[in-house]
Amino acid sequence: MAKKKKVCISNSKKNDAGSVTTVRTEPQVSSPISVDGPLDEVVCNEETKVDIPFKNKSYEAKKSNKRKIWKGLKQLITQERSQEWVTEAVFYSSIDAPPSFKPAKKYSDLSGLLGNYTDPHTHLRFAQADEYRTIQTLPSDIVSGYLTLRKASNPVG
Amino acid sequence: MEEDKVFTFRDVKPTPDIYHTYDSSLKGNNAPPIVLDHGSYQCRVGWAVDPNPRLTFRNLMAKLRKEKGKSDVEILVGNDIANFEAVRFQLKSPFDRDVITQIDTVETVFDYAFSHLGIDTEGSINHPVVLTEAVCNPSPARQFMNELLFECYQVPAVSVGIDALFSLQHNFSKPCVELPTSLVVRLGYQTTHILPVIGGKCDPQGIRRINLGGLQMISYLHRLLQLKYPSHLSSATFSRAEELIHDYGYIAEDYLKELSKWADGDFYEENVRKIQLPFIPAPTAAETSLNLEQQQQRRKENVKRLVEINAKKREERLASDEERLETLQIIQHQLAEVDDGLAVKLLRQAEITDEHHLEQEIQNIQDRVSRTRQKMAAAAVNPNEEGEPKKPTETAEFQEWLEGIRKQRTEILSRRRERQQRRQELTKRKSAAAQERMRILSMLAKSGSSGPGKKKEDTFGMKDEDWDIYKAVSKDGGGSDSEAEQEKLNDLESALKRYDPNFKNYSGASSSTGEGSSGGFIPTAEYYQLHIGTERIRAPELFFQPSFIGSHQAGISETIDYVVKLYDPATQLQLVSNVFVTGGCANIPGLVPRLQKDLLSMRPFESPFNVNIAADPAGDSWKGAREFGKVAPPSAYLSRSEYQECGPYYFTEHHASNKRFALMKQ
Repeated sequence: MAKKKKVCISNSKKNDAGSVTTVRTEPQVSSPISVDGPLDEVVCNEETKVDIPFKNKSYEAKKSNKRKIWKGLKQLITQERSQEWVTEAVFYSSIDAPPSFKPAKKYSDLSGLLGNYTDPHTHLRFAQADEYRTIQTLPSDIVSGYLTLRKASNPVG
Repeated sequence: MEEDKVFTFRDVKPTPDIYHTYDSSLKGNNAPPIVLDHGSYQCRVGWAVDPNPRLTFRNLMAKLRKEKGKSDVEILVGNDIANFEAVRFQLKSPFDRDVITQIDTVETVFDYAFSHLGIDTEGSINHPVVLTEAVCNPSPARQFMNELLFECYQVPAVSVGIDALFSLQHNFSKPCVELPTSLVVRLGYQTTHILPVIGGKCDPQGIRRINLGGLQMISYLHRLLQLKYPSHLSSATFSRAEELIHDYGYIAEDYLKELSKWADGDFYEENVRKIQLPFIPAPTAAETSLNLEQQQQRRKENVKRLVEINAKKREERLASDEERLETLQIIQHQLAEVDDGLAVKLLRQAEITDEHHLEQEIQNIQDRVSRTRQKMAAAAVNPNEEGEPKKPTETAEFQEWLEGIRKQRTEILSRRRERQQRRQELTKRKSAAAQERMRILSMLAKSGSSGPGKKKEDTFGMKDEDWDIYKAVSKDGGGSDSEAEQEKLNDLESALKRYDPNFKNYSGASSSTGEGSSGGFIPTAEYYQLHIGTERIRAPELFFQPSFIGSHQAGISETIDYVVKLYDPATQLQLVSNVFVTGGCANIPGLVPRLQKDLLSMRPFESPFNVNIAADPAGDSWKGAREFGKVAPPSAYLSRSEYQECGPYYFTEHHASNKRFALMKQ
């Protein structure tokens, strides 16, 4: 801890001087070679707020008192829609692209070529006979990996 | 094979940002706005008076705990993160899709950005902020942002806009005037948008969003690589997949036609990109064969030495035997001449009880000597080895024999593979093998208690075949890789290694990877190569066929078609006269020709259209926002007093902003 405090002070000094003299000293501080440099610096920011004078102190205090309720995207969307908007309002949730009207083309899972055949055992698609031979030797985790990739794996059936 | 087509990963490391100085020209009454292109991939920050952003960094934060259980954390932001792969699981993005949900992360990122700009004013930032936000940003997300900027940083004013529209303005228009009518296609990191711009503004009714972007494309390629090369699971990282797309990905003008080209062997060889993974340079083929020879030499020498030791021992024994035989024979001669007392003495000296014993001993030693002599003669002729199948001499016969050995080996290997597969299948409940096993088990259980009252005699085990059923139901899948089999395999392999010049070629391909097996696998440079073939077009094609990853949404072209058809024919013509492509993923080569081809097929015959691409698809948003920030009147900003009066959801509209909708009046 003692060492860290030291780095802290030296950094803050440099920052004060940086605006007056030269910036070129700064990259040395945060260069990737001195591994401790940038890491400790950030920690200092968190602990002492030397580098960040521009924040509102009362907001900081308020924030630490308030218990934050985290909301995901879905919750934000429902929260938005729960208010009474004018009828022509467009929401984030209403601009989703329509589903595809064309049937999805089938491609071989392994090679990506147009896959006309499906292996009845693994349900993998393949384009050529030698791909089928490869499929037969595939372990089950790879098979299920390919299926999950195109959301075709069905754990129940 | 050409060697010039092998590439390596660059694994570029970001260079940490420098702390800029806060010049006096930036302070004062007419302070220039801070322009923040707050994208979910990269964040660009700079002053409106600068031509280029001062900072460009990945909009990510890594929270690292130095020691477990301690609250001692280090927080790295953007370019301070030297290696994204090392901290992959600690990375935090402020975004959920393209919407800000993690406002605390945004705060950390903004702290990083503003401190690197050099701002040192106490308690507030005295610059207006021009910020980009998601299309149709949900109002709660906007509230987060407004609260943060006005209350935490105490900025005087905020203006929010859509990045793609700023880019359009930078390429085709001037700030704060009406935008030209066009259809903007925005290919972002998390989302893709189609934005119709009509009458100088973006028409919200026509906007459509496809929920995939660069991130999905990269992770698709990442997963494909992992599945294609399970042995290089840890080498095929996400960052490397990203690099592959940047360097080798392209969009096919006609996907099916391009695929059929790839199916051709010559085209594949020509266009496949081989990426060499870093690997410990194994001894080259020449060296290994040298090593093998050396090993054999050493083995031969060992055998020779053993033979010599044996021969020496035998000789010694022979000499001692002969000596004893001589003394005994002398005693025998003397016995006939001397009297009894002396004879007993002589016999006792030679540790012999009586005359009969003496004869027997002489006979024994004579036998031993002759046997040893025979052995020595045999050893001199042929110092042979046991175990390995012996090699016939004639060539035709030899080839046949070699073929037989090979066949035996492959048989053992395939048997082993079958067993392995069966074992693997048995671990899954619904596989055919597992179901068959359950069937047999239930049958056995049933036959044990068949019918009430009628007690059937239990004859199980009377016949030897009965016990085979346990082999069938055992989890091992009937017999494991037995030691006898392994020994046989080893013998066969060592025979092949000695006599078959081609053996080491297919030793790598075989599955004799059983640990410690003699046919050890030798990693070669080719083994550590990733071949990027159809993947080059497969991953970017995701934008046009989201069904690749099981998404039901339409692709870019289909959505463009859908959006255009929402309007009357005259407007349609105006829209397609300027299809404008922007966003980081528009950098993938081949996008414009593809869109032209798709538009040609969807538009009426001989109707004109035009596809344009931003000069710098990734950076033009910031430049547009910067131009806007330079000239925008105060009315284009939401001021502090307005924020306090109108509430946290409020924002001011301008040419490149979202449309603000009012709440219903009570």
